[in-house]
Amino acid sequence: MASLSNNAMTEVPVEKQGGLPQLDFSTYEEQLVWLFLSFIVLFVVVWRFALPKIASVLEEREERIAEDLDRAECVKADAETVRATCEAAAAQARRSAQETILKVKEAAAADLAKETAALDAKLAKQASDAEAKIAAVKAEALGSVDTVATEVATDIVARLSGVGANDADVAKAVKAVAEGA
Amino acid sequence: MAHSPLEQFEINPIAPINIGGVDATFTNSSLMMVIVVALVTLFLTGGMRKSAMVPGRWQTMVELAYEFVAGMVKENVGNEGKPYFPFIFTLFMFILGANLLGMIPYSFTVTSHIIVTFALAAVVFLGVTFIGFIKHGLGFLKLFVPGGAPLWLLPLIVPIEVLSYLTRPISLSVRLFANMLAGHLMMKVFAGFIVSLGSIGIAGYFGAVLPFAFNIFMTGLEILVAFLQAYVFAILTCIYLNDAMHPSH
Repeated sequence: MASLSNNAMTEVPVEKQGGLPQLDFSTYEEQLVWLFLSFIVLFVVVWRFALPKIASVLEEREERIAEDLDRAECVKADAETVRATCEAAAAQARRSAQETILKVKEAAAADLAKETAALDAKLAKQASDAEAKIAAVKAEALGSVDTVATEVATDIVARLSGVGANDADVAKAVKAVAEGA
Repeated sequence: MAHSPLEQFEINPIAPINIGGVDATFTNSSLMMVIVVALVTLFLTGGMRKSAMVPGRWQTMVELAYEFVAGMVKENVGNEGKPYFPFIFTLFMFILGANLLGMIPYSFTVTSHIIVTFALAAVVFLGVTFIGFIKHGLGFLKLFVPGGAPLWLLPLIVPIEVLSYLTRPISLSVRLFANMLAGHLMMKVFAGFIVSLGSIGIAGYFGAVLPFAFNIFMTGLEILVAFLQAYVFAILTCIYLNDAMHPSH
């Protein structure tokens, strides 16, 4: 049975069926009719309905992506601007801080100089006052030396000679001695 | 009892129709063509019913098919090929649908019939020739005179070019037809081996594993061929169209 069916399969059928069904010309007409009919229907469906829809969706997506990219570019530019502004502000702040420091420093230096000058002047005045006082005291002292010397001389004269000397003469003599010395 | 491997190619009438003397009998072949059209339509419209900005799986497949064929046309024909894109897309989807549907057991492969593939190839051939003459007039004949060839070679080259041009519809149609025929024939023959070996007995069961494994492999291969042949048909149509657009190559 098995060998029979094997034979039937490998040898007989081509003859039995009368060759390839593909070469049966009687079926060509109806195949062509239905092929063109179905192909044209499919073509119209594809051309009129399917493709425009797909194309519009793809186009829309492409536009959306391009739009999004544009927006991203815009936002990036904005961020860049903000960053630049920020940096400029920071630089400005740094500069003004530097200026303030400088100003304060200068003011402090000026104050210091003024105070030093004031102190110097005060000290100089005190020194000169002191000098004047010293000079006055010295002059006074010097002035009283004559009187003391005259008194001492009068005293000495009186004691030694026992004669009261004339005050004016003594003073004259002391003066002459002092000047002579 | 034993089925002939050729039986799958038989055309069986379902409803006899005759319109004005033209035999338009509805057969199993016609039925498959109608199913192909219906399924391709369903595939395309069903996938795009949401037209989502972010596509799902189905929509991605539809868009993939669109971009695949669109890329093919653009690459091979350029921007002038745009008006012919719907035709080439239809051609691709129809052949692909017919090839793939033919892989279902007990179905019928429309493209395994030479008359069908030849009709499609003839439409392409005539269309392309027509377009060539419309666009370039007699300048289209430059296609047969390759630029840069020495003059004394022309008497040899021109007939060869003309001959190769005229055999295009034959090669285009036979390629698809023969691929489908051979693949399906082979699968049926090996399926027959499984049955006959299996009827021998226990030893036959083990022997039948070989043709069975081979048929599994063949099924995968045939699905690949189904895609490949649809692609080849479409891309050759693009190349022929490009010749019609730019005859002086």
